[in-house]
Amino acid sequence: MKNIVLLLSAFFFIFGAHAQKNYPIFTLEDVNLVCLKYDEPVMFAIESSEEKEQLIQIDLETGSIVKRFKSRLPKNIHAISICNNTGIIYFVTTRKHEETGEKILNSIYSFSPLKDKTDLLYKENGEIQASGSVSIIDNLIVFTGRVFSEQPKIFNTRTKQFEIFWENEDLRMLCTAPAHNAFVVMNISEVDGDSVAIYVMNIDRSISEKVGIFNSSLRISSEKEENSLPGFNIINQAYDWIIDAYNTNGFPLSGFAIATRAELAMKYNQTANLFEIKALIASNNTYMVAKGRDKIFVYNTNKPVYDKPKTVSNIDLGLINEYFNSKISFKKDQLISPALQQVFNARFYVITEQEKNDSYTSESSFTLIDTNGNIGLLKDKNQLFKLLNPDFYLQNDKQAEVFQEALNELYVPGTFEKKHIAFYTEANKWIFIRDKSFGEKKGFVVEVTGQGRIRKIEYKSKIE
Amino acid sequence: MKQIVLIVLLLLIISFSGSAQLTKDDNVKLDEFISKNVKIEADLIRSASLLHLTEAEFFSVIRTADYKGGSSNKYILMKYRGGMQELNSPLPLVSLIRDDYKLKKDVDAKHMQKALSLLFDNGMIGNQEIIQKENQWIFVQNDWFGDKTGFIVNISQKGKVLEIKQSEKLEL
Repeated sequence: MKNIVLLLSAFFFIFGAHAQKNYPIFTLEDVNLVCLKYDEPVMFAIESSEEKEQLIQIDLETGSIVKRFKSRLPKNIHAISICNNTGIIYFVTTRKHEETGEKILNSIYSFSPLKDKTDLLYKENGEIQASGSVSIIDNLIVFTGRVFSEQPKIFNTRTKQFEIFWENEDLRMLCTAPAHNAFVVMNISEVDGDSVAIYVMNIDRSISEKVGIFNSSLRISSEKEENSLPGFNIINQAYDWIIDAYNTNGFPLSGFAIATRAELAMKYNQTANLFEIKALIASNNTYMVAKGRDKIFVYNTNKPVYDKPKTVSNIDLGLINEYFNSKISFKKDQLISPALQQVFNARFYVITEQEKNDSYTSESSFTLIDTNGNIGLLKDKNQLFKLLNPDFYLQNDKQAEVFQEALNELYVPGTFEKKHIAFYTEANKWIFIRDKSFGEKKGFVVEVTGQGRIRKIEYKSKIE
Repeated sequence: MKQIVLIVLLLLIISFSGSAQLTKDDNVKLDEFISKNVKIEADLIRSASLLHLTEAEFFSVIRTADYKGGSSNKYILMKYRGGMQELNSPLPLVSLIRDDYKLKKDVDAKHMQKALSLLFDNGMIGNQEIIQKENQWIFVQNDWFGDKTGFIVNISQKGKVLEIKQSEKLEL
């Protein structure tokens, strides 16, 4: 849990807080694996209901299931991906390594939505580690490994065999670009610090001239200017699409892997239910799919839904409000004292919220102020200046005693604070000590004019 | 007599400095401010697993109070006898379970675990397990410093749920 909070705080620092949150357009239960087409509002998903798994087709515009396929699905599906050119879906299944228990590749199946038919394409007898991320470029199934450490594994659906990605092992794949039938690649011998030149390799393995630079630096700091995220500097504008390709690639992504894709991370950070999300599992230019516990959330990132979808009737909302009215009550007291009346031009009320629980009542207090009929919250000690009575002057000890008494009414000192309560003056300031801890004095510094008119009130947690 | 006068004077002095009863108008103004500064967001908890277990409706409610620095509290409420009731423990659930729901098979247990996870998700759900022991099903929700936390569901011979208990230290 601590990790989640830390991670979310990190995202907050990097991407900032968004006032408007994007609500899911719909959620689906019992779905773990999905694939999206990049140019159509269509999603395929594997639904686990009761004891069987079923492939379903969802219309993303309506959120409705338009088809439940009858074809029996293979067991232990690890990844699902769709070929944008043919519409064929591929399932990758895994088995557990007998000794290590690691997931290793078992088989590859193709599925035709038109024929509702599944075919076994390949059965692996060796020990190929299963890659979490699978994508399709035309007839090639690409198993992405650790980007900087190894080349991807390529399975050719026509020859039904694995093939070499590129003879020179220094050539590595940064991401796939299914919409462009291409790979974005780099040569690790050209890595310079955090940067490396990038190239585009077509499906026929022809490689372009250098098209830009990828900077992999990721630094997260509470100081905004120190933040750094991985990103591209595309020098050939014809290849601007690389940024989109990178941000819609490599799923499933969780934790800091999301932060390595800045545009995607912005969309993630904007989600209204950030705390429910365990991983992002698919995205294209319009939709993003996130996985929660036993359900998935689908967002429209092109036209975000800022209004919270209503799931509760007005009658039930009324009952909920009634419940809280009976559970939570407020005790209200006006603070009245000569000192408050002399120092301030406002009325003060101490409100105690009392919340009834099963076996106890919890209480918390806050102060409201009434200035000429306008009610507001006294949340900051530095607000006091604006509430001053213009006729109150702070020139002598007697007036300082009145000021201190007013402070005592508003901020009642506790047993340990009482002994530190004191005031003194120096130059054009009156200092009102309210507490002392670890040798540091805390309190108010009140600046006055030569005539004793207060011109500033500041609360300091360390008074020199 | 002197003593009485002194006491009355003392009471007057004390009452002059302190708190006072509010007028009706003050009360209305303060109540208006407080209600404007409370936001209640409610969502119906929808789940096929919950529907398997019960017809009752459950709501996830977040109450945010601006006067508390915008802090929020989360509540799970259930609609019960025409009103709302807070669900703090799994105990009240038992009486709401459908007559036709029996906890006999793994599928039934999975529905129970999902429903319990939805209603009592404290953000600490980790490695879940389901264990059956005679007339008892144990739903492990997490491992907390070596102790298994979760739920114990006691059933009749026919699989009817008799009791649901939450435990911070499950005995497996």
